[in-house]
Amino acid sequence: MLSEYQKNTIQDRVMNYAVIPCQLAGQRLLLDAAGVVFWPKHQLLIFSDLHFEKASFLSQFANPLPKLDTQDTVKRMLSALSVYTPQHVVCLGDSLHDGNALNRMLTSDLAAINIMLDGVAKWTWVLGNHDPSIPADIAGDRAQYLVLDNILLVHEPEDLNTFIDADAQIIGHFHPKTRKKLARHWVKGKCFSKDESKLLMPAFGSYTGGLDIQHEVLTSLMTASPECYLMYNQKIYLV
Amino acid sequence: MPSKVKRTKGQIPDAFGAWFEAKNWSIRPYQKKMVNAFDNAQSTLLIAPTGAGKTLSGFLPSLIDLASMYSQKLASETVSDSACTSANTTAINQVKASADKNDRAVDTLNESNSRNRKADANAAKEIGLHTLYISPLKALTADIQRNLSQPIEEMSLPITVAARTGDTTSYQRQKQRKNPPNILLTTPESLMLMLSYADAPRIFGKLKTVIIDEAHSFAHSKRGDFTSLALARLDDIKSTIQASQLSHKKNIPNLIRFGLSATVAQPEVLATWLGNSDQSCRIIVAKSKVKPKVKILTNAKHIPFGGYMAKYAIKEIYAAVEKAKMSLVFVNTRAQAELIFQALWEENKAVLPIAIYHGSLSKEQRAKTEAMMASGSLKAIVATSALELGIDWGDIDLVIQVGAPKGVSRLLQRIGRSNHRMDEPSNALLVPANRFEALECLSAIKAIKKGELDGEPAAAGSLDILPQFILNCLCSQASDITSIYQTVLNAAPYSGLDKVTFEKLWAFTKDGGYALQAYERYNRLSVNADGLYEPASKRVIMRHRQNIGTIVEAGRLKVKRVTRAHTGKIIGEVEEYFAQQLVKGDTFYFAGEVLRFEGIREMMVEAKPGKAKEPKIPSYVGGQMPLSTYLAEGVRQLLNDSDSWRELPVLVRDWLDLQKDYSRLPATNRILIEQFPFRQAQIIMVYTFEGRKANQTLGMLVTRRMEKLGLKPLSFSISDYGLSISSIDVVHRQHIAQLFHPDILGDELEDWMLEAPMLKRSFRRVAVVSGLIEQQYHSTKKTMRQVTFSTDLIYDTLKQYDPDHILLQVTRQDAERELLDLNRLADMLIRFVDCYDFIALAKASPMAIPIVLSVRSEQVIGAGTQALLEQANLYQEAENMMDDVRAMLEGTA
Repeated sequence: MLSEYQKNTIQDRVMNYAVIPCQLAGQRLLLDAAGVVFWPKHQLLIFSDLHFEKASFLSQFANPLPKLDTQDTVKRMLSALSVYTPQHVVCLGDSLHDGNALNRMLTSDLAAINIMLDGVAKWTWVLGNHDPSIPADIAGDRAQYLVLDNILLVHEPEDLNTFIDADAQIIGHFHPKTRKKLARHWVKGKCFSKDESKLLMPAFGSYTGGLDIQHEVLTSLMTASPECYLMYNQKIYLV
Repeated sequence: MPSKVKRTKGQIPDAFGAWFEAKNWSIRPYQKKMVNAFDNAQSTLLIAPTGAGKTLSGFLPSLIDLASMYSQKLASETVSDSACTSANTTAINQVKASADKNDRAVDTLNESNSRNRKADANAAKEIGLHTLYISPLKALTADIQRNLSQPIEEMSLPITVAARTGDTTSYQRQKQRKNPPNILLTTPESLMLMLSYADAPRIFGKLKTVIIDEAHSFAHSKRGDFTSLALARLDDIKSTIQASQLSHKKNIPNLIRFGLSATVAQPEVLATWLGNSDQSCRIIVAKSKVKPKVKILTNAKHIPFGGYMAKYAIKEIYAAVEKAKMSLVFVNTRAQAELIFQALWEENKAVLPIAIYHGSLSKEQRAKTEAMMASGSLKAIVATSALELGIDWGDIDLVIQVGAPKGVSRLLQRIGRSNHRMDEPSNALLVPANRFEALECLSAIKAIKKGELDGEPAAAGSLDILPQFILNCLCSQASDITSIYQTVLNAAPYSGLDKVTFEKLWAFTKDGGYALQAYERYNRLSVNADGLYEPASKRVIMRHRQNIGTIVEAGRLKVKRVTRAHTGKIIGEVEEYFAQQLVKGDTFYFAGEVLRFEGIREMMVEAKPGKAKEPKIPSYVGGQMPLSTYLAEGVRQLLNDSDSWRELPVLVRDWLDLQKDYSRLPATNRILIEQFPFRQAQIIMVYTFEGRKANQTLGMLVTRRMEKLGLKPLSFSISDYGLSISSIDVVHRQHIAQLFHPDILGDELEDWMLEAPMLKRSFRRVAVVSGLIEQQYHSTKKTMRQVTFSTDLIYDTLKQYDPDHILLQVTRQDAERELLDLNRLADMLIRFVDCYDFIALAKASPMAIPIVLSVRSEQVIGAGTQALLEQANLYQEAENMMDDVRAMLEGTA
């Protein structure tokens, strides 16, 4: 049951092109220009590919990079959480950039993450290829995957035939992005890509790059003409 | 016998006099002055027109000094080894011996050759590196090496010469390092690399003089700053050695800096750059007595409004080429070179040998063309600025400039390539690519007649090089902040650098210098037992060395001309951006032929020779040259002086008349603004005549204000003459005062400085040059796309979490220096308050056409693009889903 506050914020975002609703295997999902999915029925908010501590990973090789990405990612997560006030949060894998990420993380950043988790009733870390395990310093549940109703939540795509209950899956891993030519102007950005049985989420982490949806890896993964939801300047468009 | 080469100060030794005589040359007065300057250890800037024997003037003092050093060394050895005495003839005798074909003397020489060689080698080692020659172009060093071998061989001097550039093999590099030649020819980047070696003091310890060729072409750029720092470092090495030898009587004089330059508008500015912070250089000017003969091509049947390719005049260009003995066809961009070359060959019924030359072609291909040109077997060569500088070949009697000249000095430099003798006039033909350019050509010709030049003002040294320089010094030798700061201050462009900024740059070099970083385990610098800083690891050193330089290249991919399977020859490079647009089967012009795109494999574009009606032309980002402000102003004057239109082609005159009738001509003291619809958008066209940079900045600021006023700007494109802005909504007369109010420099500038994509572009360069991001990593180049992505993200986080970070400060300085022209813009906005002529038109005016057709436009992020997206949004579908959600929200209520 959505609260008045939730209904109002969602309505605002729909009106402002910051949210586009879509249907996946009969389930109604909201795709948000912040790069998250909200599933009203379960009061569930989904993030994907946070890649915490990517910058400090790269700095190990003496790259003088600023290591502010974790802080920035958390800040943007908090802002999405305050919009949807979900009961349940799922992070769809690759939340930590590498196995050593937590050792490099500032204590203050780790604390901020745990405080954030405290504010949500249920938090599930789906594990990904970058983070096959997540140290106990971080609260929340761990899972290889999750099935809610008829939808599978997993990091990398799975063969749906092996999941009897699931008709579709929401996945991360690929960091999809796209570009589009409109009236002689190129517009490009991260995007969601969706066909009948798959929803690909964009990467949420601050220093994450992307893979063009025209890349053969993605064209062979999706059916012929997937829907593409382009995120641009805090709005989202079905293009 | 050695006495013959012994010499008194300021005099030309007999051997050299004889050599000049044998060549039928006379020693010019300024060449004598250079010898004098050397003997008095006086740093000097020599300004001379092309064809004046500038390079020889630079080297002459060194050759003379080296010859006398050798004869002293060898003479002292003859005393110890009397058997050699008779054989050990002096240079002049050897010349005579070979000249007279005196067999007996030659025999004697042969017998003792091996002994001589050994003695020479010993002397060469003792004398060490004497003269360092720095050139902005690799190709120039090869050319100079050839030219130097003439006097050295003909006078049988034992002087050793070698070139050291990015192309030098590692074997050769090792050899040069162990045993430096007397004269080393190099580029600024290779010099900086050598300065990073621990044995730099040994290599450069005996250095007496540095010659900087074509100084005007790069002094006031980042590369000029970079070179200045390298020179300051050389001075440093010199004075350290001096200090350590104080106990000895020997006094080592300062390094002598010789600058060689073409004629420039302000020689003093260049002399200041060449000198160190304390002292500017002396200036010697050699004047040319004749003025070149320059004409505009007027007999073409049609001149296009827009475009930069000048294909319309191919028949006329070909006719001119056919008539001349040998001609050089200069173009402004590489794409233009490909197209003109292709078109000339289509026209080439007489099968004249015409070649192409630009920087993207492979080294081998360029070398081949150079050799053919030198041997006189070519009729014409289509070239970009890659051939503009000093390479000295053959009997070119005509220079054809295709496209606008962009600057008086640049045009003179190009024209100087013809009739490479000082006392004869050069011949040149200007071919404007569109009607605006015809105006520019005429302004340039008028300036040449009046003997006026355009000059670039010197700017303060750019800061992003400093972290690189700091690391470079530390790679060679552990040191501390104060001594490197002192070295930097000694470089003229950095004489005003404050210590606080330097310390921030130092902190960045050390660990990134981020305010919010609590601790740092992976520093680039560490402190050794003596309390001095050094690179933290071998890896840091290695990676620094791979990334030395100031030129951030647009991503490039090699082009492989495939004949079978995946085998073939690499024939050059195209930009990544271009390659990614191609799909299999697309055809494009490259290296003068049509290629069919096969695919990208292992970072290489594979293409087969093919045929096509309309191939694409590779685009190259680096090709656009800015118009000098001097010429832009010239064009403005010309527009208001209809008497001088007589010298313009008829078509151009018609065009101006048409503009006058349809709209109006921009007046000298007012700014004309035209408004009209064009290709699914609304345009305002602003004729500022303030140059590219100022127009760029104005475009940024005005679109920002348009965004605030809700006019939904989409993009803008600029030329040197004006600015065209496209938007979704129509701009009306009443908007103008607000859009061009000087207060856009206040509010909009600050907002924009923080957010603009332009600044991100600057940050990209700064990030690479300062070592935040590397272009080369383990010798595999990161693709520019990868670099682009990560720097944009970094810029955003820095801006938000560490807004005072030094790199943001550096980026701003870089943007102001490279992209904006704030002073000029402010001046313009204030001067023209209430002086705007606004006209609404039904269509683009004749003068607007060249500018709105400009391909490169700057996109505005905001409401305009969003409006486009909203239109493109699969509206019905989205709307249905929205209804669905509304129903859901209602239903759950």
